Amino acid sequence: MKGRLSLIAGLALLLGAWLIGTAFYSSGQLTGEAILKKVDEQQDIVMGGDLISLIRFDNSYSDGTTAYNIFGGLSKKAEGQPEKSLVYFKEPDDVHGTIFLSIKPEGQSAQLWLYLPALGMVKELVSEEERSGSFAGSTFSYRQVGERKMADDYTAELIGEEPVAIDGQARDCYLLKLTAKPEAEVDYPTGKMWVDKASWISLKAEEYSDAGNLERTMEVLKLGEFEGKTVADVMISKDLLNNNSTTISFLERRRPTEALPDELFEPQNLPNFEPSLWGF
Amino acid sequence: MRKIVEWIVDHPRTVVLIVLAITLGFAAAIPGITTLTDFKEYISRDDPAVRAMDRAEDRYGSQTSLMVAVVAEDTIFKVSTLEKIKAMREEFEQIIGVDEVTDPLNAQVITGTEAALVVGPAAPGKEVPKTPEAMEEYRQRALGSRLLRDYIVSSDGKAGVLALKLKKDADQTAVAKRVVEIVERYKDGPERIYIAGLPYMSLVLSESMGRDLRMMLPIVILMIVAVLYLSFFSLRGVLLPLLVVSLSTVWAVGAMAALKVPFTIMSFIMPVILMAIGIAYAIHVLNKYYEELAAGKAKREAVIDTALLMASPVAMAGLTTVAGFLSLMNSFLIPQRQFGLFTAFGVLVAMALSLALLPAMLALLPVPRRARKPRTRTGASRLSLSGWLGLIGRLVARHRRAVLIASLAVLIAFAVGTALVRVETSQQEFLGQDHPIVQALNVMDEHFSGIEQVIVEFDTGRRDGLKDPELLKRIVAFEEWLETKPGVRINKTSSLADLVREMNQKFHADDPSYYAIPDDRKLVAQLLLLFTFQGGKLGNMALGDFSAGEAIGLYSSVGSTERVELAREVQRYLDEHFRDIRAEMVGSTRVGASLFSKIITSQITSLVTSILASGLIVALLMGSLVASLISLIPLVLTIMINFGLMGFSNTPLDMATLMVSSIAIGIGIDYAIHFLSRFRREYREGLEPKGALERTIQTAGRGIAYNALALALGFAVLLFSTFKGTANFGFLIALTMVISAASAFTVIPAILVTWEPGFLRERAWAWAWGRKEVRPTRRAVLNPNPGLDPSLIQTDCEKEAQDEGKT
Repeated sequence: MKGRLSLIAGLALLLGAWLIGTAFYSSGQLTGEAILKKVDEQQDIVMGGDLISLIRFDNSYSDGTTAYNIFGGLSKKAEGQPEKSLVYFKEPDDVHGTIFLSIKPEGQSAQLWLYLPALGMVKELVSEEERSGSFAGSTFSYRQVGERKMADDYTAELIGEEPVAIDGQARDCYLLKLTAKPEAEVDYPTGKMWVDKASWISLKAEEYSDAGNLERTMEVLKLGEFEGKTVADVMISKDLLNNNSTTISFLERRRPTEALPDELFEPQNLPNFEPSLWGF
Repeated sequence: MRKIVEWIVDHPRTVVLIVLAITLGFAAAIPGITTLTDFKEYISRDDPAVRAMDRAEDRYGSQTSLMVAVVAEDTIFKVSTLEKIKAMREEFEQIIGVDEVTDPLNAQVITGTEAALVVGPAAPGKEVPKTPEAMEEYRQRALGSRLLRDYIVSSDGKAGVLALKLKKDADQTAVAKRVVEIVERYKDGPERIYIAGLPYMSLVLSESMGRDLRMMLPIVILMIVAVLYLSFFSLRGVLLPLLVVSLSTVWAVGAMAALKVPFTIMSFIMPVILMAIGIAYAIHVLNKYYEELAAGKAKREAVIDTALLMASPVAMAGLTTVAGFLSLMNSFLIPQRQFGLFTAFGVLVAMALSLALLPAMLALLPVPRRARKPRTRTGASRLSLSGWLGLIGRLVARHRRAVLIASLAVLIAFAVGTALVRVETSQQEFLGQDHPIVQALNVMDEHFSGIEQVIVEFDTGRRDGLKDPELLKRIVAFEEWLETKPGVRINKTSSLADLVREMNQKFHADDPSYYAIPDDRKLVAQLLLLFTFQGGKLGNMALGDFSAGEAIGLYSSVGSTERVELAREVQRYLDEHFRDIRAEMVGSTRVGASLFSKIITSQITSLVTSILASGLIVALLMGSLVASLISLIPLVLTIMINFGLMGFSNTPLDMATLMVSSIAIGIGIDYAIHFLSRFRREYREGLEPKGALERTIQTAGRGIAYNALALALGFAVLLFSTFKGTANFGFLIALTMVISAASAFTVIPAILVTWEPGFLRERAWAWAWGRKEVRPTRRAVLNPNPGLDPSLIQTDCEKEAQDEGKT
């Protein structure tokens, strides 16, 4: 009798565990959609608020040549406020001082301005349609560097788990299959994403063409830490069709001691931007 | 030799099985044969011009695009035409493999104002303007844009282009097919629609080659069947030679496929040519077999004797033809080398099968009943071919000096025409003006800036070197020189310098006075950064590190001579004005110029090789250098007439007609050999020169006439080709066959009868061994029954083989 009770208790435990597991799964926490939302949220946490960063782009072209840019970034994100960012070019020398300003009101396209120090002039860059093509000659598209959330454009399906090695260390990842939503305007209709279980950041991604060919990849090469959270410090994006690649290195990330003033992000103030104040 | 032949005759089934097995092997490879239609691929990669082009393509990429031109009678700026363009664009965008489609409505236009730089489609919202005012505003915007005018919209507003950019991994043929299907549905209406671009060209050329083959092969087979039936009046007489040529064609094409050699616009005619050439060997063998049977021999003996007797003449005829085709191996054009090599292989196979498979088949088959009847003729009636040839022989003998003087006059007259021959390397000329590809190219030439490109690479060798304002200004000066210089007119130029000028003007509120290179290097760099920020792609204007870039000038199609001159003057300008950097022409204009300069050298080399090889073969076979020289005389005359006719008729020396003379020598030399051999034999047997001539012309002459006629008809089938160059080639070869045969009947006998050269009576290589006459006492009387000797090409070698066989 005791043995039977034990068996029933064991079964009940198993059933309970299964029920709890199913509930956890169906509550959305471990579905592909839930994981993708987590990725977006994690991105928001790191990139949200006021942020100062120093970034290096290393472009490698199919013609065998290379080029690089180092720029400082100031960004300001607050709930219910337009997202503002300013990119100040430090290197190479001939574009030193060029400033790129973006203001994106909630639910609208971004407004862009460019300041050319050689002329001392600011111009708004108006695009009558959705911006496409590469961002500043890199392998990243405007859509990729934009603030658009992945979950807005893609549905995600959890298709398995697979480790991804970073710096020789394997990290457990969820493997998602991404499919563009019917109304979404995206460059690639399908893709795969490897999401780090521990940090919810995307460690690797693949994007496929209409014909099902792999056309672009993204990989994190080095992880770092920012405000106690794991972040990607170095990543590479490869355009397999054109055989170009861009490596992005975050040289510095920090929060300003005081909130970034709104005047910084006003186009007419761009000629007076003082880089030394921000460590650029 | 006899042992081999006996083995063949005693093991016919084994021979048939071996041939069948090899044939199946080659046949299995045939479905894998590919076509190569890109003219650029026809030149060796070692050519400096090609190397420069390859290097440039490696650095800047080769953009594959398809263009669909819509031409309206009045203007494309009306609702119905623009709706059609928009509908086509939307369908093209759905094709898998198409990256993007640019048309007059959605093409990007950059506008500069005081406050902003605006990038947007030429037509607001990419939609067709509905009101006359909106339409006029759109028209002005489109035609006012340097980026659109003459590229996407013609400056007269009558034509617009839909440019399809293909993805790198696109199935180009599938995309081109789909585009053709879509365009077909929009062809109703007042607009004319044309398709251009490499994928379309490849599709059409492949289809044209297939269509040509499907049409020409049955015609040549029908012609062969007719010739065979008229020769033998039996099913066997038709089927056996046809089998031999068909198998040799399968072997040759199969070998190409197995070795991954593609069919090109020059080599796809190989099956037709092989059929026409190869049939002669089988005819000779079969004909001889019937003679042996008619002479009362048993089947085995008849087959063995036939094979033994025909081995030498068939080999001689075949080897000279092989030499002619192999001389094409000297060509700088890869397809010509391939064509020469594989046709030579096919000819060798036809020879071998005629001497091995045919005897085996004859050994297997029963003796035909009719074959026992002697194939005699009652003499040469005045209306028979022999009668006509006899008449020619008598006339030549009687008026030999007049014949020689007339021949000299013809030689001189056509030499004048030879000086008029123009070299042409353009694909338009090869395809002919009626070809749909050429029509589309002509439309692009007429309404846009032209399809020909002068491409110059400026390589500073240092990072950001191209951002130097002084260099950019020199590039602008170069472009201005290109657009204003006398000679070939360059309609439009584009380079990084133009882009910098354009961005400078746009950033300065579109003020035209700022369409200039700024003096400040940093401003240049920042304007370029601005361009990339707007999503612009530099393409071939600059490498990623701005160390080098290309400038492109567009011009309408011109003749090869003008292209060569253009290439020369451009390089001269570059050498003079850009000494501090590497400024070099790359691309099709330079390749075309290089092709032009080589075509003459190549022609001379293959002609000389062909003449030397044929002359050497004749000298070896006839044992006399004099005989060799005499045999070449009708060929020189033939070649001169060929070039003279080309000059007088304005037929260009192009990639196909370049091959005519070498092939004509290889095949035409046979006639001289047959004639000389037979004449010498008759002469040595004691006939007077005139008697020997009449006898030769009625016997060997008949064979030569049939052979030349059959080959001329075979090559004339190429006149049905879609390609003008191929049709010209067919016509000229057919003509040279007739002329070389006619020369063999006239010039050679006139020389022989006039001078009676020593080789006629001396043993072979008499000058080396010491003179030794082999001619017996002269016979004054002609053989009373010349028609009895049906040997078409019997030679001394054959005679010796006959004697050997009898012993």
